[in-house]
Amino acid sequence: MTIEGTSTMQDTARGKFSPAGRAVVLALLALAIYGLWAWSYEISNGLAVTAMRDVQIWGAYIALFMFLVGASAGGMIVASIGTIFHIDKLAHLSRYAIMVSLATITVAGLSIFPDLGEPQRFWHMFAYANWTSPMIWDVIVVLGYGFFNLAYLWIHTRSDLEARYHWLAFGRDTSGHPNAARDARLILGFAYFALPLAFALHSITAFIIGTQPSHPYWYSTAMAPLFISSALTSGVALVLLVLLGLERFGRLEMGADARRWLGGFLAVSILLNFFIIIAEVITIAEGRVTGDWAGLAQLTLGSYAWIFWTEVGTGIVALAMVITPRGRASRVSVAGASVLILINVALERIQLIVGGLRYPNLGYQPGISLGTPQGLTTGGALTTAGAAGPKPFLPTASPFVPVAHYAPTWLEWSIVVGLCALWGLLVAAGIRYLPLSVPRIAPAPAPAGSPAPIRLSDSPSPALGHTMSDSPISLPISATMSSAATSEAAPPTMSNMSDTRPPWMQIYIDGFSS
Amino acid sequence: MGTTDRTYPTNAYARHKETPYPKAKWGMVIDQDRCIGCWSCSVACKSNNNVPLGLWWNRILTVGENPSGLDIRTTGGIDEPLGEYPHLTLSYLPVNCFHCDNPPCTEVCPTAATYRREDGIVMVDWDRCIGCRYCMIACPYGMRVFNWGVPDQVPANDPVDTGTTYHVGSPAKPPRPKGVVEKCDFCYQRVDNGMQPFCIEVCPARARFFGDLNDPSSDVSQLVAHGAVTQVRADLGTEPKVYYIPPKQRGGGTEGEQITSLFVNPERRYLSGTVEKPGS
Repeated sequence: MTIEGTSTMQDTARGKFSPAGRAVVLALLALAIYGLWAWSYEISNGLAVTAMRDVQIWGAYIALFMFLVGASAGGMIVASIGTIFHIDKLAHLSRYAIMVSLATITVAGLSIFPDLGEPQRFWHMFAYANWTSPMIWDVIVVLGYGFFNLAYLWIHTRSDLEARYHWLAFGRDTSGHPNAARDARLILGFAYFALPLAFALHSITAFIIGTQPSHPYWYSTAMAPLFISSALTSGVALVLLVLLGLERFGRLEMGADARRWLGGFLAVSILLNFFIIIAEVITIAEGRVTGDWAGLAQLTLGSYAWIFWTEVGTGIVALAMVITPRGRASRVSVAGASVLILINVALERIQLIVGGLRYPNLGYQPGISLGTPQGLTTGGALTTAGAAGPKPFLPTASPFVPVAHYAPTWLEWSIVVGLCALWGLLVAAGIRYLPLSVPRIAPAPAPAGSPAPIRLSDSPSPALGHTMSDSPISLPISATMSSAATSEAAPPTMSNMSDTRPPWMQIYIDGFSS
Repeated sequence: MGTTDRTYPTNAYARHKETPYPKAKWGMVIDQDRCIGCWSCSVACKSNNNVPLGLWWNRILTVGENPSGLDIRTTGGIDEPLGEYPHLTLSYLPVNCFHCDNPPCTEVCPTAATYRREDGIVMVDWDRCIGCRYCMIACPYGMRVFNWGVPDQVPANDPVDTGTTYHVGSPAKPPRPKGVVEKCDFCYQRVDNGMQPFCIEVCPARARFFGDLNDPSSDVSQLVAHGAVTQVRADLGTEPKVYYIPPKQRGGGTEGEQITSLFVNPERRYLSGTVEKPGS
């Protein structure tokens, strides 16, 4: 199908990883396989191998799920907002952002499985769905968002996918100008659909815990907005980190203007996140409703308060790093802020799940049973019969606890690390095998005399009329790269810009004037 | 454990479409002045329902300070009196599933594995439960317990495994798979046959009462009407059907009139009131 090295773009996109990169991929693969083994160990021994018990009902897996759901917002921010608001400087990053979103939501969905006591009964969710359960809606919206991202990525990349993997075009002609116009229209439609879908995803995930009056710590209208704002921060931070990494290893030219825009978006999201937290805290602090007040005291002074204050600290430092134009101009500063924000949101999820379940409503002694024969030693000198005989036991500790004490076991860490490694593998595979690289739109010169926008009805340039289905190597795009490389030095005029961009991008950036 | 060759019906716990008393609304009243904190009901419950090691459907909480909030007492223990000497009080809160009329657990269960029978008993279908534990999150009272590991019983309740010819507990409660939620079900297998739940029968202090809340002549209806009963966290709108007669003799003093003494029924095995016993 494709001959490697025929064009600059193909080189950039299909370039194999360096030996160090391959070593990283192999390490990720080993970790993912180790995580899979850990999960199989958990399946055969039950969830007793985790640190979760009847008081600490949910733990690391649900925190990871909620973190990853939030972090999958990057595609929405970069691709959808970029398309709808015609932010040219993000156009060449759309495919990467959607790919990262797809990988993140895939791993988020998978992270539910180790949390289930009976994972092989997962199909019961569909066979016996109970529509009053927020969990059913969350399963639907996570699946919907995942498949939507897959379709979105396919629509975005299919004109180039066809050249690489002909079967992925599903027999449809995806090249040429009319097809590019159709793709551009589809991309715009997807962008409009992506925003409400992403809002539904984060809100419904928040409703899982936010609709539970039995947990005053969670039961809040602010939960859904908080999940939206933390999705914005962690989503943009994750995409920024991936893009900056790609830029660092020379696989992508992100552009200083795109970095500045995303850094500014990060700063605004952090402010929004702080605003919602402050509004919530002030409301509760002034109200002094017993349960809410206790929840707030727990958050700010309780045994997990250090998580909350670390969260606040990382948020403030990250904000300081990207709030000024000077900070956003620095790659190190933006990358550092992104790392801090990912830590911030991960801590927030841990605080929510672990801190939120620490104290049961009925805290009287001796508390809630643990759910495992903990504190009982079986066997030993008292064993009289063989393995088939009755097992004597000695009580050594109370099988009840009034307050949860949770720290993930090595097995939970293994599965979490394995899932993160799987995310890395998916992202690496996307970078390696998918045509994600498209030429950057150079900033247009100041519109002196404002030339008329290029219209579809105008006579298309010869490049646009070229049908790519004939020759898999698209000449216009390879020509594009060379001119895009020079475009830094000499900003293109509006007339030659039509040649520097692939047809689909021209159309969806310039609009559909027909 | 874990043999497939059970002597139990494999789906004995599956959902009942029809209940013998469809008009009934089963409820429980517990007199906190009568409870002596002996845990007999808890042990009887474990035995009768084949509850695995480490799981308890029925617990006796010692009433302490500040049941919710930051400064929860972690150093106290069971049977520890409340207050400062000489003004000490000691009371117990025996808890099992409250079988709420408006149960938050059935609302959130994604597969409807936990459901409310028409007579008000909240059940868990172990063959349908996927083990997501959302119902445990939703339950404000912590009454639901989870089989974190492979359910373990001493002695093992499976005669095939143990080589014994007997089993402990009801055949209606087969060995659970690991990874499912379970909880008190008012001993539905006894209630459906006109018997009281086992905790009622064994309570040596006769602190527990069970009956039909829809039947105004039943013990529980009269106690609810005249006993100044309370419910645990009724403010959450769950409408629990386990009522408590709170302790009255705080800090010593003379023995007051106990309304429950009027209702202590010598016949504790079978349901009282106008409920007809099937097959009698």
